[in-house]
Amino acid sequence: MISSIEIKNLTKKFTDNEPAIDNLTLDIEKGRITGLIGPDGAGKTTLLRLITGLLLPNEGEISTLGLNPTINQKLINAKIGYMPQKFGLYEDLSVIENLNLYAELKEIPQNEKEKIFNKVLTMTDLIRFKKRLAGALSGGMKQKLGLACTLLGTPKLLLLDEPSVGVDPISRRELIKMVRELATEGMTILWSTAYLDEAHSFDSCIVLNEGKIIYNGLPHDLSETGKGFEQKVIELMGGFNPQPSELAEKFELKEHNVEYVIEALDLTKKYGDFYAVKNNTFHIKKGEIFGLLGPNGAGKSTSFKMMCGLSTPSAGTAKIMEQDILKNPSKARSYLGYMAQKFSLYGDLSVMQNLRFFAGVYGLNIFKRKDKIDQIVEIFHFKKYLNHDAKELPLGYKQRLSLACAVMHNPSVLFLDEPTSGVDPVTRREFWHHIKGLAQKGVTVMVTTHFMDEAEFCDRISLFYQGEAIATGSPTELKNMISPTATMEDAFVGLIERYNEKGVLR
Amino acid sequence: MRILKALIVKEFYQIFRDPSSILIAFVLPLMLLVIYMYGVNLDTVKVRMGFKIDDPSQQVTTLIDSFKGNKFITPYIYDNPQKMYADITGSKLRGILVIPNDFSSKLDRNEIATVQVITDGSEVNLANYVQNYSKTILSQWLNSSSKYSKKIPPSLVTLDSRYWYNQEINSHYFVLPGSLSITMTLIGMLLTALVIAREWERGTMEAILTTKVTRIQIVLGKYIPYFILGMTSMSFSVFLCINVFQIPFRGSLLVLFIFSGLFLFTAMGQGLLISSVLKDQFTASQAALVGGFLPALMLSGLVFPITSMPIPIQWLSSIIPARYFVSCLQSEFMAGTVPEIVIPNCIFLAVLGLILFTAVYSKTNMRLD
Repeated sequence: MISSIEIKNLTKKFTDNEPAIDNLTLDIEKGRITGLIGPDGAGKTTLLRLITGLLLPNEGEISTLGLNPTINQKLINAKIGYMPQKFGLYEDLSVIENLNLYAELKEIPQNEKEKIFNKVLTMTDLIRFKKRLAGALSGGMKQKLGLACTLLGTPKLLLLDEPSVGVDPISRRELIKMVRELATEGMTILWSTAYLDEAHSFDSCIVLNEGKIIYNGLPHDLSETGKGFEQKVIELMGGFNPQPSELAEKFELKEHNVEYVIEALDLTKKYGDFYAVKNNTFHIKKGEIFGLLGPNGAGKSTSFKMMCGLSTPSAGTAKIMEQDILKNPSKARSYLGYMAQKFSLYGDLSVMQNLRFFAGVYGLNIFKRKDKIDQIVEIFHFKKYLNHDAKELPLGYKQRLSLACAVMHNPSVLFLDEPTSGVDPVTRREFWHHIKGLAQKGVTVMVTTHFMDEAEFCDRISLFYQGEAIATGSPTELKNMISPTATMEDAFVGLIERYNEKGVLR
Repeated sequence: MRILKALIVKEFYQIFRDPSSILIAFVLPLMLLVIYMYGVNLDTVKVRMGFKIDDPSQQVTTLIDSFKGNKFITPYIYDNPQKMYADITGSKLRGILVIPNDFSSKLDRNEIATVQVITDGSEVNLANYVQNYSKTILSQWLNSSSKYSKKIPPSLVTLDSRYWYNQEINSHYFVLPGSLSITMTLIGMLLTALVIAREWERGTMEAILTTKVTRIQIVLGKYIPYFILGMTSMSFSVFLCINVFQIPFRGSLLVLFIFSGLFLFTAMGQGLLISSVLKDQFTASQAALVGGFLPALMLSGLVFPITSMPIPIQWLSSIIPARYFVSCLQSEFMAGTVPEIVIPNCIFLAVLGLILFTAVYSKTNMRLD
C-alpha cells in the first residue's frame, strides 16, 4: 500500500487540557476516497488543518505527500486542494471571478484557464450562473463552486471539510458524482462528513471520537447496508440507549380538543414574478409529526417564517390552534415553540443566562423558573457547559440549547427548521427520540430535514419543490409512488425528476 | 507578481460592490466639505439685536441706521421694555442696546455719554460677538459723524494689524483642508480594519492560506488597493476644495500628494494591524473608531488647537499621525510649501508607517495557531 498521508503519535492540544487530537497514528492510502466521520468536537477539522500545516502539532509526526507540514507548508500547498467548512468562496465575487481568482492563486497557465473553466462550469451546471455573485447561489451550488475552485490545479490530495452540511440529497448525489469524475488517476481524497450514507459509499472510512480513531477500515466490513453501517458507527461511538424521553415525560401539555392544530390555507409568497411558495394548503392533526422535505431553495424556510408570522404572506393564511396568524398573531404565536435554522440564541450569554432569559421572555412563573431550568440542565446534560458562552459550544450542544429554549414554555406546537443540520449521528438519534416522545404526548411537530432517515420518522411528509408541494403522504406512500423497494432517497430524487419531466411535457 | 495582481483585482471587485466603501471614499468627503463650508462658521455670525431708544434726536437716528446697515445685525426696535426683556430671556434676541434720553445732549455738552449693551451670557460666544459688533459700529459712527468726529482726541499709538497667510481671516481656508484628514483617516483605518477581519470571519483566509500565496503578497494585496482608493478619494477632495469651494492653494500638489500618501500609509498600518490582531469585524470597527478615529479627530489640532491643550495631552497628541498630517495640510494650502514643517512631519509619518507595516507583516499569520 502506498500512503499519501502518514501520521505517527500525533497530539494537538489547544488552551484547555483535553487534547483535540490524542496520540493518533494513521495512514491514508493513495488514490482512494476516505471518509472521516465522528461527532462534533471529535477533531475532524483539527486533523485536516494539521495535515495542511494550518495548525502545528504539539507532538508526533505528519507526512503529507512525503513532506513535513511544519517545515514545508508552501510546497504542500502547491500540491493539495483544501476546502474549508464555509467553502472559502468570496460571496461578493461572481462565479467566474471566484474561479479566476483561485486559478491565479494556483498559477494555472493562462492558455489553459479557459478550457478548464468551461469544463468545470459545464460539469457543475453553473455555466448559466457564471456572472451571478457567489453569495446569491443556493447551498448546493456554492458547494459545487467551492469544490471546483479547490480542484483547480489538479491537486494530488483533496481535503474536504464537511462539504455537504445543509445540502439536499440531490445536490449531494451530484457532488459525489462530480468528485468521482474529477478525481484524476491517483488523486487521494479525505472527506469529512456527518452523513453516514455518504461515508458508506466511500472506499475507506475513519471514525474519530475525542481525538482518537475508533474505526479504520472498509465501510462494507462494518455493514453491507447504509442503515446497518449507521447503527454500527453509533455503537462504536458509545451507542444510543433509548430510554423514555425525559423531556417528553416532564412536558406539561395544555389539554385541548383542536383537531387540526396547524393549518396552511393557500399560503403564497411572491417576490416580483417569482413564487417562493405557491398555494400551499395542508392540515396537521394533533400529535402528528409533519415533515417538509425538498431541495435547498424550495420554499421550506419561507413557509416556516410565514406560518409563525415572521413574514407576511402575499396571499392565503395559516392557523395555529385555530388562531389566524394574520389576525391574531400574538395569540397564535403563544402556542408555538420555534427553532430557527440559524443559531439564534445570544452567543455572548452563557448557557445559564440564555436559559434564564428565555424563561423570562416566555413568561414562566417566577417560582417555577428555577425548577424548570434545573430540569432542562439535567435532561440535556448542560452541567459542564453552564458557564460557557453559547457561541463557543460544540454544534450539537448549540442545537440542544436551541431546542431547550424552544420547548421551555410547554408549547402545543413545535416548529423545527433543520434542527439536526451538521449534527453527529448520536445526537441526531437523541433529538429524534425527544421529538417522537413529545409527539406521543400530544405536541404537534412540523419539521424540515435533509436527512432521509429522519424523514422516515415523520408521520406525514410534504415534498416541496419550486415553491409547490408536489407530493404529500406517509413515508411509505411516497416510496410506493416510485416502487415498492424504493428508499426514501430514491423517492425524493424520483418524485422530483418525475415532476421535472412533466414540466417539460407541459 | 501574478498572484499579487489577482489579489488586488479581487480586492477592487469587493470595494466596488460594497456600497459602504464607496460611501466613505466619495460621498462622505463631499458631505464633510459641504458641512464645513456652509454649516460650520467660526468667524462671523448674524445676530438679532433689540433696540430701546429713549433719545429721539437726529443723531441717534443716524446711529441706529448704521446698526441697521450692518450685515451681521438684524435689528428690532422696541417700545415696550417688558416685551424686550422677555425676548432676550426666550433667546429671541442675542443682545440689547439701550440709548438713554440724555445721550445726544451729553455729547453736545462734551460730556461722556453712555449706551448700555445687554447680552445673553448663557451663550458666551454670541455675547462676545454682540459686544464687539456694538463697539465697532459705535466707533465707526463716531468717526464718520460730521458733528462729533473732530471732538475725538487723537490717539498716540495705533495698531496696524495684518493676518499673514489668511488675510481675510476666513476659517474655511484652514478648516476645509484640515477636514481631509478625517476622510483619509476613515479610509485608511476604518475600511482597512474591516478587510482582514472579514476574510477570517467568512473563512476565505483559511482557503487562501492553502494556496501558493505568500505572506508579503497577502499584506501588499491589502495595502495597494486601499492606497489607490485613498489617494483617489484624496484627489477628489482636493479638487472640490480648490475648484468648487474656491479655497486658495499656495503650495505644491506634488508635496501635498507625497505627505498625504505617507499619512495614508501609516493610517492603513493602524487599520490593518487592528484587523489582523482582532479577526472580528465588529470589534475591529469599534477599535478603529475609538482607538484611532476619535483621537485623530480630537487631538489632531483640527477641532481644538493643540497649544491650548494641557501639556500631557499635548504629548499624547504627538503620537497621533493625524496631527502631523493636519499641520502639513493647513500650511501647504495657506502658506505654500514650508520645508521646516513638511520635512520633519514627513519623516515622522514615514518612520511610523514603516514600523506599522513591519508589525502588520509579522502579525499576518500563515497558520491558524
